[in-house]
Amino acid sequence: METKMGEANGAFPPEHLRERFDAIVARYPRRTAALIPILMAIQEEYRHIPREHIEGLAEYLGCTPAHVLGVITFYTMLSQRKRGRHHLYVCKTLSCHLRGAGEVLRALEEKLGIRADRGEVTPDGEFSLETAECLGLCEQAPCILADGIRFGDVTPETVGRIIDELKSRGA
Amino acid sequence: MPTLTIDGREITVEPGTTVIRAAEMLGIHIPRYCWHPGLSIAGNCRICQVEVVKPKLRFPCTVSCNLVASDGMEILTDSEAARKARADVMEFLLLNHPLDCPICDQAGECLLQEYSYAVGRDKSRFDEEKVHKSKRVRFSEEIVYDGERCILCTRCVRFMKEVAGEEQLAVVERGDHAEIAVAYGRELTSPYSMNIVDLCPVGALTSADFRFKSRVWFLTNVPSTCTSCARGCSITVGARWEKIQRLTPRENPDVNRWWMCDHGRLNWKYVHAPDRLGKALVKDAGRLAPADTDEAVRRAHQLVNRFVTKRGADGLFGLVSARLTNEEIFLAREYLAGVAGVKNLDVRPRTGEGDDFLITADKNPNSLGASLIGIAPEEGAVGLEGFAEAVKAGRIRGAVFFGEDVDHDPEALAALDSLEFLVVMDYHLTETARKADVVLPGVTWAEKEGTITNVDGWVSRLNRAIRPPGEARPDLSLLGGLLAAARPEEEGLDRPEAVFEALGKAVPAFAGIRYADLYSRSGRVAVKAAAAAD
Ligand code: SF4
Ligand code: SF4
Ligand code: FES
Repeated sequence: METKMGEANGAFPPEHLRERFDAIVARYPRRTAALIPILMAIQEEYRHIPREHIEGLAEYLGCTPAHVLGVITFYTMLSQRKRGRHHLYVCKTLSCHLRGAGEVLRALEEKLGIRADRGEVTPDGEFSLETAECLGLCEQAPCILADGIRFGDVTPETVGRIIDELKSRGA
Repeated sequence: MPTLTIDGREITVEPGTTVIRAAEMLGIHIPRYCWHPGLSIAGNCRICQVEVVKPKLRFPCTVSCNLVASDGMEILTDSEAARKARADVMEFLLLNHPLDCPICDQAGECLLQEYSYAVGRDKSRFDEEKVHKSKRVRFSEEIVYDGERCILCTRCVRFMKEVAGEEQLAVVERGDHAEIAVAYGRELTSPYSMNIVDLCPVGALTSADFRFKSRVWFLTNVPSTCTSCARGCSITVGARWEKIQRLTPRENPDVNRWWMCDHGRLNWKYVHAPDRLGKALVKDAGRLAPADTDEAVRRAHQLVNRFVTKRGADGLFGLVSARLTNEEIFLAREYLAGVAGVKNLDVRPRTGEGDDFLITADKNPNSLGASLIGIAPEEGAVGLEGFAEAVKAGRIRGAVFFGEDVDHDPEALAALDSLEFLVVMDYHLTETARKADVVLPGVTWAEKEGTITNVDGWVSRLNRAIRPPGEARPDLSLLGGLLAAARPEEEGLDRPEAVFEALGKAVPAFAGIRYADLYSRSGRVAVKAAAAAD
């Protein structure tokens, strides 16, 4: 098992999260059912799923590392690459695309100086970008989802305000 | 019990039977990728679609691997609608497929080729750049994965989880980025992993050992039996240029179902080792020198005969390998006990690790056969354990080793030096054979025909897949030669079928089994069959 990279050191669950994870596991009839909620908690804590946690998590829940990897890679909200404190999903599905999502994305990339398709994070670790499939806000296309907040009818001109708002809320 | 018709033919099946299985019973083959009789149903590939005429469904076609037969059901497997449905699936499956058949190991036994041939298009309508994925990923030392050829049927994933018992493979990513993977820094560790190479319906999983060795259609495929442990899994030997190229499991519901272990699969290199005996050897002025085989057989018998005449059989020890076939063991016993009167008879046990699936702790393939035929020291006689001691004490002064050696036991090996004579029959020049007065050149399981009796009493066939080296001869013919030398008045006995028949007459356990029936199916010896019926 690899033990370099990231803040996590491989011991699972990490001491400061043990209680939280045990509580999650207790909510389900089978331990393996807690896999996704725990992965989401890890994602929230570290802003990605550190590779070092895969083996330990599998053991903790009684499944195999291959199974855990399959689940992590299936869901786009789980990332193996570290994200910014604020992560923006820019919808690129049809309605948003037709209403200028491309321009919105370009404006964001320019403003933040990072590329979505490369999974880049701003040097201060504040922001990262990702295109997303339909966010379910077609009537307000183009739309963005960030920190759990929906932003509709976005234009290249208003992206600055969104960034300011996210900044002012803190992480 | 529901009665349904498939392509106009009626069949009544057990409740719960799926349409693909019912069709199988009628001898109708419905295309499949993800479905395999030994795995759970995944229903993901959609190639097994058939037209359901009755009961009326919302769509004319549905998958037959996950469709339970019902009473009055009417199925068409080859109607226009069914063929169209399959053709559409084929087109999707091949969208991103590299179509590198000329350099793909699966070519010739690939189900993508098979069903393209049946319902495919001659030209792809897709002219975008294909999706690129992982190539040549090592799932283990022995298994190579090609993500671009993979159709994500998950047979391999299910095998690891359901049969090998370790979920070491998973589908990672999704949509057209999906691939099969092992976890970071891991590899497949199950001793049965290589079965996924056979299971993979396409060229995504290949065997590192067999890759690029031979186009499969140039292999001669001979049904045989693995001799690496007492399970005796049914196998197919793929040979070319008089060399084994690969071993694959052969379906046998009584013994190994569809599987075999990796060790058995790869344990054939010794067949082509340089120490193989291609000629008989006879000691001349203290040194082994090449000799004519018939001459060597006569010489061997002469040594035994003279010894017994002079000293009686009590000073003679016979070691008969439990790796030999039933027929060989039977003739060995006929010769040693029947002709020479030897009571000091034994096998050399071989044990290792076993599990609760196929691999047995007994590494001799025919221990049960040997014990049924009666290779064991009689009461008060010398066995292999007491052999060295008995030689030292002067109780044993001559020995005959059929297909066996004592290279593992320094004491027994040293004892051979004090014997008056030693005859060895083996397929290679062991340390034991180097000490013999006559060495008869036998062959390996791959070069002979016969039967072995597995741990559960199933009797399975070996068949000759390649030619023996030089003047080596099937052990049965050498043993037959010894018997003929001893009983010149009797009709010779060295054809496996005839010997098996004689064995059935002499040893009741084998009486109910017909040799000819063993070609594709195993027969069971009577004692075990009776025990299983209890
Ligand atoms: S590797 Fe082969 S068996 Fe495994 S999912 Fe891909 S096509 Fe199926
Ligand atoms: S389980 Fe035994 S008989 Fe079967 S393949 Fe392995 S070694 Fe050969
Ligand atoms: S064989 Fe039926 S869906 Fe794959």
